[in-house]
Amino acid sequence: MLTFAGCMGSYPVTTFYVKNKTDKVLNFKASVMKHSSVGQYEMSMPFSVLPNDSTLARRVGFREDASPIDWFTDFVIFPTDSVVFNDPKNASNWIKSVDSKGNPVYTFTLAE
Amino acid sequence: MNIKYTHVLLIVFFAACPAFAQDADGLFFRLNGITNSGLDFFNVDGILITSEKAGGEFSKKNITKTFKRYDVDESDLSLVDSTLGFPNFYKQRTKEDPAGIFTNVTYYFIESIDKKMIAFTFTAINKRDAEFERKFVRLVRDNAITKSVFSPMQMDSINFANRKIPLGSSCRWMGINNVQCPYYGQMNWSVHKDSADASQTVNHQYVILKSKKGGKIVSDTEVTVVFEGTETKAKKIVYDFTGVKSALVGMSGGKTLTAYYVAAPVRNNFVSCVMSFWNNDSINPSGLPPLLDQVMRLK
Repeated sequence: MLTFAGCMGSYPVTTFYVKNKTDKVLNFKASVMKHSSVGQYEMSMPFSVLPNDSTLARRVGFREDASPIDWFTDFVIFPTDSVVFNDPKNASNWIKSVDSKGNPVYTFTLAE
Repeated sequence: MNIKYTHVLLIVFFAACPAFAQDADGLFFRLNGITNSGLDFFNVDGILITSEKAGGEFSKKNITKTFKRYDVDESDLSLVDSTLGFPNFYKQRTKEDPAGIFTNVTYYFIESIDKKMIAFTFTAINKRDAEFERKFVRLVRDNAITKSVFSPMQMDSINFANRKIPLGSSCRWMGINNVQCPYYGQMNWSVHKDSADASQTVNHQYVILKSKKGGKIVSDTEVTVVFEGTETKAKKIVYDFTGVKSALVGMSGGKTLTAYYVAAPVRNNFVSCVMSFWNNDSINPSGLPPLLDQVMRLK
């Protein structure tokens, strides 16, 4: 029992925000693996982020020692003229903080 | 500069640019191509073109055996275009659907310079330009289509009437000059040398789509838009697919499809363009999804 619990680790509720620091609307698609009674399948969701705004991309129980890029299976940014994007697949671009309840929050900035 | 030197320069210039030397009417600035599984697809002036090269000696028997997809038998291969100046057969088929919309398909089967076979199809609605077909057949036979007109199948950008639009990995070709970006909209277009041809091409697509069964048109209006920087009028149609079961609707899960039909001058040519998106696509505050935002603005 102790060994089993040790393997499970801790899964705090973790929030992933995507921020847009430009004056243009930016779009991206994130794919996640979902589990159902008929097996697992990949689901993609499109997001629009308004200028100088952010969007909540996912809130999930997330293993505390996992890489922040493990919350998605794919993350595709739709290009926008003259905007240079940061790489969402680079874990160091997800900045960690904690919310008022002490749960982890990761923020990725699409572009500045 | 003396005359002799000028002549040398001209000879060097034309020797270096054989393809553009044959492009008197700016064809290569309007032409787009993609290659898929040995078949080349082209689009220009609202005409869809395919060309396909195959081995084997040029003969009726080999043509019918090799190019089965064109559904021609030996009795179909009775017409020869003597003006081409090399062995060939051609065949034309016309189908009217819906009323007033005649889809003309011309097939050419020719002997290539290296004694193989090349098959062509030219598909155009309510028109046929035999002179253009001959010119294009010659260009392909002479291997004179410049490589720059081709886009890769795996796209990361498109050549939209001579403007490169980056699309990343979100989109895919549904056909030549027909791009679908799931959640972000779809558009097909053609680049024309004259305005009337662009307008007619868009009108034909409008008539064809209006005649389709399955959806119900809930709105058919004319709106002012800015298309590639030019203010113009667009036809806007909203189709309601509520209760309709079809592969098209099932894939998107959407209920209404909004389509814009535009013909407008763009960078010294004219573009016909049909853009569409589903109600459940990602629609920006502009009122358009990201793909359409790249080329059009609502007024």
